[in-house]
Amino acid sequence: MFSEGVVLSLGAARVRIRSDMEPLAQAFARVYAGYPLESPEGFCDVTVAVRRVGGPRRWLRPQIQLVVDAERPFEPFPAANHLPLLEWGLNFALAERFLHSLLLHAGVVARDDAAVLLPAIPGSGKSTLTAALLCSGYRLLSDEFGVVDLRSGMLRPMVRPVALKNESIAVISARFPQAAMGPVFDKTRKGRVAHLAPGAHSIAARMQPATPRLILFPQYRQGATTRIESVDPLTAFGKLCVNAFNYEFLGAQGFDAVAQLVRQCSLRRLEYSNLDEAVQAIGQLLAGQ
Amino acid sequence: MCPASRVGEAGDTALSERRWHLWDPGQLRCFEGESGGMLFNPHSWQTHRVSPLAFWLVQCLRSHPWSRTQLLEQLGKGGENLDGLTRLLDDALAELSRLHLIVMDPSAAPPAND
Repeated sequence: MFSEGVVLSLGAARVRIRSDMEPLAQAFARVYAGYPLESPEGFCDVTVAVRRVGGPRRWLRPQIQLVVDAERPFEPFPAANHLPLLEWGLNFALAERFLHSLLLHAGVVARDDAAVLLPAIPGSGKSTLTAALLCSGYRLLSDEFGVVDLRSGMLRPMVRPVALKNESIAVISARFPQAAMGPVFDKTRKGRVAHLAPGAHSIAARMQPATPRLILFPQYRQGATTRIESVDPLTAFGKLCVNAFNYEFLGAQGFDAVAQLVRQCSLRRLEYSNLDEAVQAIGQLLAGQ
Repeated sequence: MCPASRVGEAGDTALSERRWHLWDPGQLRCFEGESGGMLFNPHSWQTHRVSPLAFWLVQCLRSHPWSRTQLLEQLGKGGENLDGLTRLLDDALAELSRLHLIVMDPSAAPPAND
């Protein structure tokens, strides 16, 4: 079935995934457990396939390649990195083609209807914090994309596994032993990578938008005391413009969407090293809305 | 030379009387903050962070065109010392003109003795 293609609704997007690799099918089944399979008919925002690379080299160094709607955007990867390649391929394809919403590079979680947006650059601890919030009872909307509906200003879920890297894998596994972690991939281009399954409650709510309430710019710093500061609206505006994948493409619609976000949300910067303190601080901020 | 960079030159009173207007007041997007504002230029599709004075100028020009002299009068109503503001106003006009957000009104010809 996986070789013919499975169709999943992630919430804001519908994707078709194909591969003839049994190890990928097994890993996929672990981290995407709980997603209902959609009808193969109908429109998908992207179709992504992971294919084995042929030729005699496949016996010495098995390789795989990502295919996005018949294009091959990346060089071949080692075959052992199948799930990371699929996830990066989905990120790439969605960021490139999902142009009818403002697409922020951000983790997004929600409690009830109130969403926390965690826009960040790589290395800021966004995914670790998103995973900790997910494991602490928050609903996951996305680890990668803040999808802002241009008409309503609501955040639409794009629910997929949370990609954890290097030390974050052990940190989350130790702090949340019940976390449904997928296989660990040791030698990827980003180091060690593992994926945290989103959980039944996030999957079940993947069609329910959430209201943006708090924009929090996280920064992990080893040994740092948990510190929260207000962010000037103009600074937040500029950061969100730079953070968005498609701000310039959207023009005035992008400006309006960012303006609405900044107007309606509390704006904070969080420096942290202790996950529990960070999660507690975010809960207090959200409760104070 | 950009007209905005010349308006403050001594003796250039004709330029001071010409009116500034927004390129496209209907499409321009604004977001105001305490330390200035963000402006979206609908023609360049660029977003700019501008000073409080530049943002105030844009708000003034949204209603109708103003000359530099009129703008200085408006600033003076706040009881501000115009000596220091004149240079700031010229800088702000020059900045907005450089960003193609405002333009000097071509229909308001300078006086005949210019």
